[in-house]
Amino acid sequence: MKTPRDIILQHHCAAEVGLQTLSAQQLAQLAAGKQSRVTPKAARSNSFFTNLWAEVFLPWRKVWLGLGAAWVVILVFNTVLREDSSRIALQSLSAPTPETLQLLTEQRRILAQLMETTEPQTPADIPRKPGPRSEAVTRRAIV
Amino acid sequence: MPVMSEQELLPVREAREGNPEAWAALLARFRLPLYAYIHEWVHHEQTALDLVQETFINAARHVGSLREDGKFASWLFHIAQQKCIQHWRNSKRYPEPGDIEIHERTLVDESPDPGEWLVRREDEEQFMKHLQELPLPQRSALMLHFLEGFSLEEIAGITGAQVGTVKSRLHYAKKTMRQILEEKRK
Repeated sequence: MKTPRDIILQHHCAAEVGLQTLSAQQLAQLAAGKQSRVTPKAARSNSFFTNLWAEVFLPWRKVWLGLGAAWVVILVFNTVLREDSSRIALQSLSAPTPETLQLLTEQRRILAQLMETTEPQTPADIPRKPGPRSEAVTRRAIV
Repeated sequence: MPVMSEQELLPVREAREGNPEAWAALLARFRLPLYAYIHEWVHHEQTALDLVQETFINAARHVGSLREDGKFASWLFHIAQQKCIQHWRNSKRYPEPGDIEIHERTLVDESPDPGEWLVRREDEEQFMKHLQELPLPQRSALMLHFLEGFSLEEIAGITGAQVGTVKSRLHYAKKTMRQILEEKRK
């Protein structure tokens, strides 16, 4: 009777030769100091960005690219729209149509009529209110 | 079977300091289980060897970032898992439809100790054959459970799945394996 672990490892034991060679290579690299030795602090900061890249960007790279493309489209669309609206505004400012001119003239005429009818009254037309007699002399002198 | 206290005996601290003897011990301890696990993903000897090497290179580079020495084994298998996924992406190979079958129901795993499993000599070949027929998520969870006796939380951490999902996968995988082996005995 064997445990599943023993069976699985036994099934793959033929690879042991290759794995030994691989181990020897790796240890030789380590001994030769080819393997970059990273301080725990540097490794932590390095691994943070590596992990960020590997876990946030790489698995969703299509999504990120899609988002980037969508933003480019939005920016282009926005720029084109802004140019159009400014052009329309310039056109409307430079060339007033005859209808607009006519409307403006009409409005001016109405305004003039209104001004005539509601002209401010002169002080002579304002009815006097009776006041104290003492002040009546001064008022007469001023007038 | 590996015992829980073994994690504490692993020379992870020495390996972090770049001690070649420590690395030799870690390589000797994990190279075959890692190979077996990776081989279940890629089904190609040379690719599996290459990925084992890449896993150890990566581990040697980033061992400084490992905070808990006791989690070295699960951390190493997590790197191996990432390498397998990366290999799949690069080679544009994706799991077969059967492999992505996921049971979301949470079930209680009746036998959490992999040591309880014993396979008779005449069933060994059948055991491997049927193990390889399981859908990849189930096979992956079962391999991690059998090879290193990882807990559900550790398997979830390695595979990036929910603990409940791992529990479910293990349950179905064990159930299938048991049924097959019992049927054969009859």
